[in-house]
Amino acid sequence: MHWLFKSRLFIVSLLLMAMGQSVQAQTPLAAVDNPQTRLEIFAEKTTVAAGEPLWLALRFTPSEGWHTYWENYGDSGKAPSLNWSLPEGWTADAPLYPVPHRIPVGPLMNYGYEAPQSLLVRLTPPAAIPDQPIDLALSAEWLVCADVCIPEYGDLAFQMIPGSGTVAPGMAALFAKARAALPHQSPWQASARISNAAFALDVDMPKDDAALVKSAYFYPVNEGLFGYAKPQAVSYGEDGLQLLVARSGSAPQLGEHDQILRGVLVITNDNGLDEGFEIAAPLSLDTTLVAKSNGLGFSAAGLQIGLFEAIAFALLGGIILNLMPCVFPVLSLKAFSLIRAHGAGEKAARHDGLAYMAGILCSFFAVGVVFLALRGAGASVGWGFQLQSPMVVTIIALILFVLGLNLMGMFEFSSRFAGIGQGLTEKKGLSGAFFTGVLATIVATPCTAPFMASALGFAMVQPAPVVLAIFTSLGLGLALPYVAVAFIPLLRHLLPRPGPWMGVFRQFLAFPIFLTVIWLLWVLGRQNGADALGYALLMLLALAFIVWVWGIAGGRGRRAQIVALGLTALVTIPMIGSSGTFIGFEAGSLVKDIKDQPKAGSYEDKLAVASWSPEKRDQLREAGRPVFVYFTADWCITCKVNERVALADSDVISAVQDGSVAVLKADWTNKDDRIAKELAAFGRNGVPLYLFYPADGSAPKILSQILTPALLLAEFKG
Amino acid sequence: MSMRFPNLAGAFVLKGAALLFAAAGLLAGAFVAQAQPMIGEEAPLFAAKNTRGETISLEALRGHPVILEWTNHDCPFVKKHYETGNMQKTQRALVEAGVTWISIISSAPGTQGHVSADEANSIAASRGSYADHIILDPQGDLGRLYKARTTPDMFLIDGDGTLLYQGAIDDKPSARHSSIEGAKNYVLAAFQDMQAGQPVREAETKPYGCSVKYAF
Repeated sequence: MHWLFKSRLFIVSLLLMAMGQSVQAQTPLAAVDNPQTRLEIFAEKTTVAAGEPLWLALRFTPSEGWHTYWENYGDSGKAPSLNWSLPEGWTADAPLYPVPHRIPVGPLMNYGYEAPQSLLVRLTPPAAIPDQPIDLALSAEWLVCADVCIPEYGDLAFQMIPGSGTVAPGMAALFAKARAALPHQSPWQASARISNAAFALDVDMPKDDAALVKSAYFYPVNEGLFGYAKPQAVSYGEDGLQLLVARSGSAPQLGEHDQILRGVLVITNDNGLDEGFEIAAPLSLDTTLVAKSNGLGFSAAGLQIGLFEAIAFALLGGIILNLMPCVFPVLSLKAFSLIRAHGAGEKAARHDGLAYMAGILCSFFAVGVVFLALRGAGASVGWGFQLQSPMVVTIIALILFVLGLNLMGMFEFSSRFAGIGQGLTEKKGLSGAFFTGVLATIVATPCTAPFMASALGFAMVQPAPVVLAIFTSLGLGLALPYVAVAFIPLLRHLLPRPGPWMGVFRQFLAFPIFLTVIWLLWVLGRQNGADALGYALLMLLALAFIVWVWGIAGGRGRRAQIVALGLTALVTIPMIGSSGTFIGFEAGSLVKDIKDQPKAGSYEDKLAVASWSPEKRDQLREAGRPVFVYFTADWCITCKVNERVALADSDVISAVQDGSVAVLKADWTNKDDRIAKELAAFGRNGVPLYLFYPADGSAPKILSQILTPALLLAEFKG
Repeated sequence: MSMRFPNLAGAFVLKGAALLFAAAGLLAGAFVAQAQPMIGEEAPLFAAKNTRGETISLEALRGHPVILEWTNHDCPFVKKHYETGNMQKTQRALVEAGVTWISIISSAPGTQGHVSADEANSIAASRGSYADHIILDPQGDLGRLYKARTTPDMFLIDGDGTLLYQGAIDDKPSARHSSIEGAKNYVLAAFQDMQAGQPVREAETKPYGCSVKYAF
């Protein structure tokens, strides 16, 4: 049976039970009250029949804030011990425990129950019993702890009357509830491996089941397999679900009894419901097993999205890209050309829209091919990877700068360059529209729209045709709003009428463009320092000079043009020649040291932000601290906005300080394979990514890509 | 407006505390990451002051076997072993055989079992403890170094500094005084194996009892 189906049944039965319980009061056979726990014994049946098993429930009710323990209590504690005094021929089986919970105590992790719970015990009478009341007795010892521990004891005696064994009033509900709290039989095969360095539990779970898994945790009955406070990494691969725990200490000795792994696998499904499964799996020694740091406790299965969803997300992401500050001016320009062409024919508008789309699609296709080539070469790349190269940053800045000058009216593109703002009726306008599409793609790259990270993360691990399909879909999304306007006359009529205001608006659009240029130059400065920045500014000046020269020469004779060509060469050649030296293709490390030290008084300083590394994260987690990790890059505007809005918030800062949350920053401004791998482990290949690792060692939470103070406060104070 | 200054000062204190926490966390993390108590390998080295103010260094104790006993005088499991005299009996047998016995208290300030040096000495005296040294470890550094989990939690280190045993004192995870009778004392057994020049048969057991009351 499908386990999700089971969990629905489980809820229904719980509801039924809750109703039943309110009707029937339950009277225990015997009870004992201790300062911190009440222990009661219930029998399922009113009478006991010879040879027929009788189920007992031992209900432990701890005081508020106190807890009792599971059969493996984890790092500290004690399992309940039960000593039965039974008549000759009677047997009592080991108790069945409900699914346990994690109870973190500082750096230690205990397993137990913070609420009332019932152990189920099966008593079996002999084949013949005398026809008189039978005396049964239990001497129990259990440990109940809050911050301190108290051993408590109970000596309970009761009688059972021989009879046919009908279910006692109120007991059906009580026992059904107790049984529902036990782990289910696992519908999946499992096996386990262990080495000095790691423990792995492989659960042969079909894709359909795994897709519903949000997180998982394994409670071992066997002792000494791994540290109970260690984070458990969950991933989903070809062989099903894998749970990996780093371990250290002595090499495990697999004795006779340790060949079988026992425990409870608790799975949290999509709806946030926990369900426990009993695991009995062969355990073998595998000296090659290592704990890969692939994002601890993360459920890849939970985030796995299908091809269709990925394409849909890419399309949506592309549409949203239009609104991003880096793309908006370009889109405005396109809208502009449409307004100009108000009177122009339907056909021309459509052709223009198609050319623009073709420009975008070809560019995205090219990006996809480059992506595949890099991936094929073994590089770890992600969305925005282009901007990790200072040279690419500089070139985009130059292109945008020229565009800004054009908008300001410093010069007009000749028809050979195919003017962005020119009439649609010109045939050359088509290549202009194509070029605008290319431009839109170039400027869009740094803006990771919220939906795109998942889609591109999905793309990362797919075969080539799927990757290209996703990139194409992204391009389609980017082109769609404009194409819609071009194709639907009704939409076009909504645009304002042409007029002198257009000239003013066009000049205004230069400002967001220059803003983008400033930002790109700042990124370059962060990447390679003030020298590179100064050099890039010189290049901008040279470019402006060339544009000015050609603006003058354009309207004059051949001689003027030769002079202009000469001047261009004079300025350009030394610039290009030395650009490699000053700007470089790879980001330098010289600025990185400065970046790692947060400025005094900045929010990074207040949050005590440290540089991320898997080792540091693990250290902090082992020390029992909650950890917040943010993956960012200077060229990622979404990241920067999120950080300003959410991380610099004074309430967030005090919550971090109060909760001693460790904040780690993974800065991907420059190429960093470790960060790329970590992103991939979380199904992403771009920034931002926000992770919160709770103090109890449980699986990290992937937070929304749109970070708000409220969202962070909910996690940090949670 | 009048709240402004106190708030500012409060923020500073908070910030300072957070930084300290961060530093302590990293330090503790480093400890945990570096040293790992492993049976058959060198026990993690430490040097700490005992309740008499003398510095005790594990390295300086080479040549003598050493027992580390994590304790908390108010923990019912510790009480069982002291009130029945079982712990003292074990201490006496080993100390007389040349073992250096070190009792360690890792309870953080404000938690159960946290005591001053004088209190620790008088509790030990009143119980007739044979321990050679008592070390107060309120920061929990030593506890984390050895990954001590419960009280009691026992470690046997031989004269060469090799860790031979870690875990429970015996095989009866109960707080009942009656459970001492018939219990198998793992520490004594490990020591006897060592004396006989044999490998320790049960070198690692699961400790039971109260959690070590770490600072966090």
